[in-house]
Amino acid sequence: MYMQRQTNLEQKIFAILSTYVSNITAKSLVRTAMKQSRSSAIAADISPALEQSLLSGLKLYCPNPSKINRCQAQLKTLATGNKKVIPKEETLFITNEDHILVARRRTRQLAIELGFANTTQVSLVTVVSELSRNIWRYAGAGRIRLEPIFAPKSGIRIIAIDNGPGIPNISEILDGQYQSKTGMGLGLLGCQRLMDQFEIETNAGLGTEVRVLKYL
Amino acid sequence: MSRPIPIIRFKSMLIVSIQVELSDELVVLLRDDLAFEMAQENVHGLVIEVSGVDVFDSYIACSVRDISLVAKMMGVETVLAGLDSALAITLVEMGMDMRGMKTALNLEEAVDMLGELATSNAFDEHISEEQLLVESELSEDDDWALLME
Repeated sequence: MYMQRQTNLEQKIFAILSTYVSNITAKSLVRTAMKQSRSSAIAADISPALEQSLLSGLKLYCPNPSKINRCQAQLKTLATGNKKVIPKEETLFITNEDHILVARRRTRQLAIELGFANTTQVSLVTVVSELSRNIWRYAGAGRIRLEPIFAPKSGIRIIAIDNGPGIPNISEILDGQYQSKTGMGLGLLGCQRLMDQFEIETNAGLGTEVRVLKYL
Repeated sequence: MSRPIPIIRFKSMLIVSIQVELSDELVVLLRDDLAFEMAQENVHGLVIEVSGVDVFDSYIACSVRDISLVAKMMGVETVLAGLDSALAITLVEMGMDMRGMKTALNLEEAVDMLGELATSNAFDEHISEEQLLVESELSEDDDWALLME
């Protein structure tokens, strides 16, 4: 019954929400938010009030902040409709452990904006997680750059830069001979396997720069 | 004692469902909390439910494997449940070796799996029943001894 009376906008919002919470919850979230924000049933765009109300409702049922962020990004794509947003490049500084979480979230959001499929989004987030952990653990501080690219093909370039001690046994690591104390020794090798292009430059005492690229 | 990731006791199993973003610090806390709980009496199975986890990198994968190894040493069988398909694909593409781990599609199957394992250990129970008999005889003697006093 409800489905029949839904407007186009309500259906679109419902489709997004139902991937995060159960159908029944999604249904009631949409209904409550429409009422709360006094949105007109025939509006084509999401108003800021409606978005706010949807997200505060979602937070009650979905405690995972990265999921909320992802949902928000998806709702934003509805709000902008046909107006094309050009995703911007970003630099993220990694100086403590929480920055790894921030880097993962920002990568996920940018990957969604660029239109990467879900599996590739996960690959990108994993790669950023590995690279930022390496920075934090071995160099103490550094930065991650996320660059959307549009020519010759669309994709994303991720650059991790630090001024740490460098990686002395890099060839051993990329051969798969290395077993780290804290992981499987697969961080960098895994990144190489997940991405389309992988370059690493490391100098003892000067630092390390890793550049990876993934096409859409 | 409040825990960032709650551990639930169900029959002779421990169930932990990870619904938060996993920082490295949290992973270590979880391992220690689980080891503490597993040392309690009558724990035979552990289910790690990860449907709420959105990234499974080499560190997290390795920690989960370590937890299952610790559990094994304490006589506890671990099942990893609810791994998202995209995460599974990424793990395989990276070349992560998780072959030593028992896995299940969801929590329900994981609980069933551990239940079956428990019943296949019926032989052990048989032995313990015999031991119980001997112990009860002993306790009767003890009772007599008590009466004599």
